[in-house]
This record gives sequence, structure tokens and C-alpha cells, in this order.
Amino acid sequence: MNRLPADSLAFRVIVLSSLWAVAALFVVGGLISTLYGRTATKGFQDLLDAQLFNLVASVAADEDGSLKGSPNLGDLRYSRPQSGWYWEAVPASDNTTGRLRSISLGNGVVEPASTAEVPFSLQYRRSYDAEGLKGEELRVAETEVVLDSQNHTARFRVMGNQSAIQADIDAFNRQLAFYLGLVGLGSVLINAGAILVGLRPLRRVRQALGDVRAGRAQRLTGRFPAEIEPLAREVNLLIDSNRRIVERSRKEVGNLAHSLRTPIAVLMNEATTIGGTEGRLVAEQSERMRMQVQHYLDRARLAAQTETSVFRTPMEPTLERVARVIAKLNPQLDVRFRREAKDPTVFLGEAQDLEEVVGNLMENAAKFARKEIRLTLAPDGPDRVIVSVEDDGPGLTAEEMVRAVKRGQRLDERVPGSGLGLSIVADTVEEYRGTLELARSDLGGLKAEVRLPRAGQGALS
Amino acid sequence: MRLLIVEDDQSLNRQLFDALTEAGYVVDRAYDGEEGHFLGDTEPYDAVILDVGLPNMDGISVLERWRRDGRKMPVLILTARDRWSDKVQGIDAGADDYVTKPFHVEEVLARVRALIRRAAGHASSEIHCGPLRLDTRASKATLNGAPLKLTSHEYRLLSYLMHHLGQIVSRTELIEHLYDQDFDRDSNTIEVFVGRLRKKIGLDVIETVRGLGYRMQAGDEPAPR
Repeated sequence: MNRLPADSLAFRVIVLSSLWAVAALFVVGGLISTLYGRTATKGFQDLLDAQLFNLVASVAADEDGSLKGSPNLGDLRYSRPQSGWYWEAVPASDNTTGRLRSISLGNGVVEPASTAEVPFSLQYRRSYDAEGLKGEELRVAETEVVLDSQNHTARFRVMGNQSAIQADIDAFNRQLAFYLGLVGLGSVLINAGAILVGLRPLRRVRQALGDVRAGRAQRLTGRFPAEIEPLAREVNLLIDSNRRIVERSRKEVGNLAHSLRTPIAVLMNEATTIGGTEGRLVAEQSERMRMQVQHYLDRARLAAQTETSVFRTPMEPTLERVARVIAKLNPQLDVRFRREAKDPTVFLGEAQDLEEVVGNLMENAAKFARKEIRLTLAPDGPDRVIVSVEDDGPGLTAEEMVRAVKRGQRLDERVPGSGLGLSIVADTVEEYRGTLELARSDLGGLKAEVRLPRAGQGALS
Repeated sequence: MRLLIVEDDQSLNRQLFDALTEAGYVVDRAYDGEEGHFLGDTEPYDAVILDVGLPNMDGISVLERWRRDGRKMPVLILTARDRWSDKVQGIDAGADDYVTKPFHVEEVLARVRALIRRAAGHASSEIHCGPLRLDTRASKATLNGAPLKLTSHEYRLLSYLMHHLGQIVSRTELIEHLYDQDFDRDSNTIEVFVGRLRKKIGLDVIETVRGLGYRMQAGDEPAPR
């Protein structure tokens, strides 16, 4: 695919599918990120709760109500000053004294939330956010515990630095975005590829149609996918019906032209009988009609020729037939057909056209021959054949030869009715990319040599 | 010489009839294939002018049937189609020549003359018999170089006999070839015309073969091919 116009099917499908892919990835990404954030937050909370539990378990009150114990929460961050990870145990009843805290907290104080804002739960626990010693965001897990039967009561708090979890979530989101981006890009590319590959049969249809239009093929050929097959079939039917219509019109034009020939003959002959000015006028006009009819019949014939594609015609039978007809029409002439190849020769074209070419040349030869006409068929390299027609008549001068061949220009450029048999020969030969040459024959008269395309060996089998 | 025209176009048929009659032929006419076929099948014509495009039965079929039934008269076909395949078809069906429409009647005349001559085995348009000379192109006869004044009936009679030099031609054959189909065959006109002709060209030129008919000897005419 060299380019994609904005109104192409491929373009539309690719844009829509890409938009959908991007939107879907955003939604999925958001969902995953949210879920992960929640899980991470909960894990953090659970960690704090567990450490709070740990703390409570490792602190007791002595008989004076003084808090003691050396809690080790197994995390070095509690030992690093102002790390954002703190714990403390403070008296929560009048009979209790002393205060235990983590090294990291030192003498710092983290203000607890008021119980009015964050009340304790039934288990006498609460969690809230607070501001740390350096202004960092803390999460606080707090509980109050009655330590013994004398109702010594302490409040325990474990505080964790929320920035840690935020950093964790951010890192996760970055990775998530990276991988989802990769997936998105990949799916857009795969989508586009799939669409272009999927639509390729359309391109084949277009090419096949182009071949039909250019005359390289008669119909759409090849296998098409199930969705396109019916379309191709319809197009073929359309081509067929079109061809039938063209053929019918051509046939009718031919019929019309042919049917005019009888009345024209009548007019031509009547004109001779009438004589005088009127007779001459009728003669002139009927002659014009005759030429026009001939002109358009010739044109129709050539138009039909351009549409013919691959025909194969065995040459020998056709040439023999023409020779036989010429011999019958001219019993005073000796008509000889000589073939120089042993194997049958196959003309790459229509039998009618071959007959037309050879027939007209032979007819011309018969017009001028005294005693003899010679028709020769000889191969000319692997894919050409030479048909030559010679007579023993007066022949043509070099100038006359040039003029005779020159008449056979394209019909459109020709004056209607300048019909010499040679012009239709030259036009037909040209249609097959062959050549027509005139020369002097060994017999003394004219030698007309036509080169035509032929099929290779065994082309008929 | 008796001809048949089979042509469905009334005007063209009439024009051909007029021209051929004027040229001294006896002409029968048909306007469709069936009628034409019937006439050609039952009457002995010296040549037939047959249009290819005919109602009821096309010209090619008519011709094929004649040939299948052994009718050998020369046939000139008139065709509006001038592709070689059409010509080949006509010739293969048994035609001896063709003329493509539109044509001048003179063209048909010339072809018919040539066909009749060819059928009789004469190569040139002039037939010789001793001092007699028949110019088929001009429909004239000369004796020792001097033009003979002949009525059209006399010319036809002489022409037929000269086309069949050395052959015995019966009275019936002469009637069949010199008169159209409506002629009263019992009359003795033939004898009358032979008598008049003998007065003009000499008594011994036309020989009476008793009980069989008449014969003109080939004389110094080059042997027919």
C-alpha cells in the first residue's frame, strides 16, 4: 500500500480501531492502577496494624503504672531519626506513667487527631492521616489498651510514611503505562496490518477489473474470499451482459449496413437507366452511400478485432480453403499452396482475420496474374510466420508499392471508400502487430509478404 | 440461354431481369428461396443468379440442396456480406462466383457471360466456328468478319448451339433453354428459326441429326479444354 486516502475503507477502519484500542487501554490502565493503589494502601494499613499489634504485645506496665518494654518492630526505619516511621506508647489513664517511643521519633511530637473527628472503632482502634516531623504525610494506626488488672492503660501509635507507598504506586503506574503503551502500539500495528492484508483481495479485484478494461482478460479470474466472490461473480455477469449488448449492437449495425446494400444497388442501377442530371445525382448519392456503408462496416470489423484476445487458428486448413476458393473462381489460373514447415502452424488470432488477410491478397493476385499464383507458408523464428502471395502479373513499381501500403493507415484517418483490398489487409495485420511488405516476385509479378504471430510447438494440444 | 434470377428485392430483381433480357437471355424469376429452389430443381437453366439473403429458405441452403441433388448449372451468388468467411461459405456450398452488393448490373452480366462460357469450356469471350464468330460480350455474331443481322431469337439459338459445339442438341433442350417456362412446347418454332438461321449463315453449318436434334461442328475452333 503506497498511500491511504482519507476516505478509504482501510483508513476508516484503522482510525476507528486505533481510537478504540487507545480508549480501552486507558480504561483498563485506570482500573488496574486504582485496584493496585487500593491493594497497596490496604497492605500498608495491614502492615501498620500488625506492627501496632507487635508494639502492644511488647509493652507492659509495672506495678507503679510505669510503661516499660523494648519493642523491636524489626524495621530499621524506626531507628533512623525523623525517617517518617515512628511508634510510641503513652499513658492513657491517670494511674499510668512513662512514655516509650521509637528512636526515630526522638522528642518530636505528632499531633493525634481529635477523637471527635476520628472516633475509635468498636475494637478501640482508629486510623488517620497526620503530618510528620518534617511535614511528611503519615498514616497513623492507633489503639488504647488496658494493660493489666489494675487498669493501667496506654495509647499505642504506629506511624508509617505514606510517601513510600505513593512512590511504590507511582513506580507501578509508570511501568503499567509503559507496558500498556507497548500493548497499545502493538495492537494498532497488528490491527492495521490485519486490515491491509484483509483488504488486499479488493486490490486484486481492482487489478483484475483493470485487466478486463485493458483487454488483457475477458473476465475476473482467480479465487476471491467468500465476501468478495459474489461481487466478482456479479461483475463477471455484468461484463458478460455488457459484451452481449455490444455484440448485439455491432451485429445490428452490421445487419443495418448490409441490408442497405440491396437498395443502394437498386438506386445505382436505376440511376444508369434514368440518365441525365437526375440520374447523375442519384448515381453520385448512391455511390456516397455505398462508401459510407463500406467505411462503417470496416470500422466495426476493426473494432471487433481489438476486443479479441487469445484465439488460436491452425493455418494450413485456412490457407488451403482460401487457395481452393481462389482456384475455383479463377479456373484459368494455376494456384499453388506451398508449406515449408513440417509441423502444423498455429496463428495466434482469429480464423476470420487470417482468411481476410490471405483472401484479399490472393484476390488481388488473381486480378493481375496471367497464369500462376503462389501461396507460401513459412516459419519465421519461433513465434512468427510468413505468409507470402506471389503472382506472375505485371507487378508494381517501387513508387506504386509504397503508395499501396500507405493506403492501409488507420481507418479513422482514411477517406471512406478509398477501399483497396490492401488497406483492410494492412489494418488487420497491424492489429496483430504484424507487418505487410511488397516486393517483386521471382514469378515476375508482385510478392506480398505478411508476418504474423504464431503459437509455439504443441500449442493446440 | 436460359437464366434464373432468385432475388427477393422486387426492384433489383426487375433491374436484373431487364438487363439480362436486353442482353439476349431468356430469364425466369423467383422471389423467395422455396420458389427459386423449385425452379432450379425442375428447369434446365444455363446459369442461376442467386441472392444469399432470401425469405423462406436462404440462398446457401437452396444452393446446397441443388448440388446435393446433382444440379450442376453455374451459380452466381449475390451477397451483401463481403467478409472472406462469407465468400468461402458460398463457394464451399457450390457457388461458381459471387458478386458483392451493391453492384452495377453490368458486373453481373459480365460474370454470367463468363460463367456460361466457362461451363461450356470456352476460355475467351469469343467463340469461333469456321467463318462464324460469336462475341458473347457484345451479343453479336459475324460471318467472315461481316456483322450478321439476327433477331434476338435467332441470336439465342445460334449462341446456344455455338456454346455446345460438336454436341447434339435436341429440340426439347433448345426449347427449354431458349424460352421461359410459359412457352408452348408443342409448337414448331424451333424448326422455323433453324430454317431462318440457315438462310443467314449457310445451309451446312447447322447439321440436322435425324431423330435426335441439331449439331454444329467445332471446325477450326481450338479444342475445348
